[in-house]
Formats: sequence, structure tokens, C-alpha cells
Amino acid sequence: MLCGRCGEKNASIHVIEVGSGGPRSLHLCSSCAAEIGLMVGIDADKLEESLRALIGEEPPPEAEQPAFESCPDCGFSLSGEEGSPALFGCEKDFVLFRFPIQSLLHRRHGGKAHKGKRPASDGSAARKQQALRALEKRLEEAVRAENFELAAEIRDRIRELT
Amino acid sequence: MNAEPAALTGRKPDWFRPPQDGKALVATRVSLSRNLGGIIFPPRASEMTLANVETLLRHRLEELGDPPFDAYFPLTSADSLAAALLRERLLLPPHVLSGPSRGVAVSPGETVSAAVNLLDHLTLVVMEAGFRPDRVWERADEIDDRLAGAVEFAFDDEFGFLTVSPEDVGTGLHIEFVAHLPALVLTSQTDKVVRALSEIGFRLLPLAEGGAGHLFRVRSARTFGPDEGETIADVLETAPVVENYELAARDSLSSPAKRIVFEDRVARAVALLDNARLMSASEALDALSLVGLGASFGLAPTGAADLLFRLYFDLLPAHLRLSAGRETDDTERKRLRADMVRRAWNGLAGPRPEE
Ligand SMILES: [Zn+2]
Ligand SMILES: [Zn+2]
Repeated sequence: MLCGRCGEKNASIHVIEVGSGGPRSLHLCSSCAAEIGLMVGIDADKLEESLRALIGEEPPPEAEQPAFESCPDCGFSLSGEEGSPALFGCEKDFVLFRFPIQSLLHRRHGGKAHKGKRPASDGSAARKQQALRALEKRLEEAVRAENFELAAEIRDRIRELT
Repeated sequence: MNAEPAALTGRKPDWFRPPQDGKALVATRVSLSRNLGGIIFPPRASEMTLANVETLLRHRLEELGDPPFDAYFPLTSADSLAAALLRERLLLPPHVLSGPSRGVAVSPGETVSAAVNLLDHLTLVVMEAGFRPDRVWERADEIDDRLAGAVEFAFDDEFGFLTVSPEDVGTGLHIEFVAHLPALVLTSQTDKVVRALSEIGFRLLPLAEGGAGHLFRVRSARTFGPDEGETIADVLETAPVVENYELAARDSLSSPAKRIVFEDRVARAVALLDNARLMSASEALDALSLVGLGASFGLAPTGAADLLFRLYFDLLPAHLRLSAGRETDDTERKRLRADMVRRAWNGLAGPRPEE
């Protein structure tokens, strides 16, 4: 399984995160886990703090600071860009900045959690989309490596999937 | 198939009709904001990702079969004339992005549309004439379910549907109704309505810029917390209140104190329709709205009641510019508009306010 944060390395650390929507698991590689302080060998206070932040308890004020300045995937940051409203850039933002986003939404809408419908999906669409994402990544690499033959091949496969 | 927005001029969307029984509620609109799972959202996506998302969604929308999306309007610039026209027809989300691989798929009669990459990956909109939020929601819900079988939506147990704007996170659902509120404008009560609505999580927005023609959209704002059923219940509760407020204001116009002021306003609108050689959109639409209301008081020909709804889209700035089919300057457009209005107005027969 790939790391849920960087999406590149293998996940070796598995954490169950309990939010109001029920438990969900978080899979991280060792370097990502170390970056957000989830690693054996660090002091116990720090570990407790990171765990508390992850399991959705009311965090102490100093733990409200997210571990990242900006999302590594899309560049989203809470401060937003000069003069423009904060617009979310990808799904990951909602994981990385869970608490600040929660309180932002609570202030704006008054709600504490989503209560409405869930996507009526059987999983087949998700699998196809995963394949598409993987192909996009390979296409980018092929183009960067100037392997245009391979890029054309990948492009054809993307076309079949879309 | 790709189409030019100019193709929409000269025909009315199916959802736009005079309110039934001469009351205030014109149409119902449901919009759902959705993004694809694991794919960067449009504001920060690369051109390649945007292109793939557009191709994917256009295919999936086509494959739905029902509704048939028979036209796709590509839209690369948010402040183009084409965008202005689509906005006038409520086919765009409130805020849209500029750039390649964006557009909106539209069904015949414009009752269903799907904006692609314009803010979120997908904004699904269903509109119908009259006030029927549960029915319009059911239609949107059903299309949304079939789409969720064809693509994976970005969803989080706690946050719900994940969207670009914090205004949409959760259900991604906004329900609105279009209302004709001339008497509330005449009696200067719209500010009061705005305040009352905002307290219960609704916004009052003009249908056209500046609220021309006294047409408004009342839009539910809360997406995080209330579920879809609660939002529908809120709308079902709110709309009759707004409508009754408008109807009470209409009644008040025949009170001795207000009657003469109202008659004066209608008579001035009639004079404008009879004589104006140049007309701005808001001048024309406000005058048509006034004679429409005046007709129900016997102050204008009965046919005047529907004129606003017959001419509304044709008179809007982007519609007029695109339907002219050639470069026009401001004065020329005002003349075209005044001509169009006078022709329709003169075609009516009936009482004139001068007795
Ligand atoms: Zn990692
Ligand atoms: Zn991100």
C-alpha cells in the first residue's frame, strides 16, 4: 500500500483516526510519519500531541497548528493567496488541515459534520479513476524523460479510460 | 457536440415562465458541486489534468443518455461575452475560473446542465418552472447517483463532498427559487427581506444585474451540517413566507396612501414603453415589470402581465449583443432594445392608465 500522504513510498505505519464520521485508517510511510511526528524515538509528549491531533479529540491550542505550511500536492495553504479567497486545491487539504477547516466550516455554516448523502458508488468507477491517476503520473514522467514513444502509448491508454 | 452560446439567443429556457396563478414564484433551481476523487481540483490543476477531466466527464455525461446533453459550450474566459450570456441564463456557478478545458453541457430546454472545470470539476444543475423543490431535488439526486456509479467523487466521512469553495463543502447542495418581487421593491422592503433571509441561512440575489425586472433568486447557503432533506424543508418553509410578504405588499399598493404613488409609477412606465427611443436593460425590464403588476390592478392591458417573461432574456445585455450578430455600440443596442420593447408593447390592446 502506498503512503497516503506522499503517495510515493510504501506505507509502513498505520494509524486509526477516529472522527465524528467514524473510524478511518491512515497509512503513512516512515519518512512522512517522522515529518508529522508519528515515530518511535521521539519524545512521548510530542507523540501524544500528534496522536491526539490525529484521533479527532479537541486538541490543545498549540496542536491546532497543522504540520504543514502548504499542501505538497496542490500548494494550498490556509492563508490563501493575496487578495483571493481560500479555495481548496485537492482532497488532501481536508486531511492535512482537518481542524482549521473544520472550524472554518463550523463558523460559516454552523454545522459540525456532514449528515447528508454519500456517493452511491459500487467501487468500479473508483478503480478506473485510480488507473487514470497512475497513468497521468507515468505520462508526466515519460514526457519529462523525453520518451515520446512511451508517452504516446500512455496517452492512448488514458484515452481508452476517459 | 460543441456549440456557440449565440445559439441560445432567441429561445427561452423551459424553466422560465410567468408564475402560476399570478403569484410570485417563477422557478426552482438545484445545484450540486462535485469533484473527482484523487484528482487536483480545477483552480490548481495542470492543463493536462484539466483536459483529462473534461474528456472523462463529457464522455460520462454523454453516456448517461438521460438527460441528453445535446450541446456543450466550451468556455475559456470567465469574463467573455459567451460567459456573460451563460451567466444570464443561470448556466454557470456563481464564481468561475478562466482557462482551457472548461465548459458547460446543456440538455434541451436547459432544464439540466453540467458545468465542467468551471470551479469544481462538476456542477450539476437542475431547473424547473414553478416552485417544486422536492421534485427538482429528486431529479438532481437521481442523476447524481448515476454519475457516482460512473466516476468516483471526492468525499470524506466527516466533511461530506469536498469542494473548491468553503461555501459548498458538505452536501454541495444549494436550492434556490426565482421570485418576482415588484411590490417589495416598490415599497422599499427588499433590504428587510435580505436581512431576514440571511438570518435563516438564505441569500437574496438579483436574477439579472441590479435586480432588473424585480426578479430575484433566493438561495440556500448552508451546506455543512443540514442534510439534503433539511435544506429542502427550509426552502419549503421560506418560499411561502417570501411570497406572502410580496402579496401583502401588493395588497398595500391599493391603500389610499399608496395608490396614487403606484398609479404614477405605472403611468410613467407606460409613457416610457410608448415613447422611449433608447433603453437600458434595467429601464426596459423595470418598466415591463411595473406594467405587468399594473395589469393586475387594471392599470395596463391584461397582456402586459406576461411581457416581462416573453422579453426578459432578449433584453439582457449579453443576449442583445450576441443576437445582433454584428458589432454594435452602446447607443445602437439601446435603440435595438427600445424598438423590440415598443413593438411588443404596441401589439397589446386594452386599457391605458390615462382612462
Ligand atoms: Zn509518505
Ligand atoms: Zn492539496
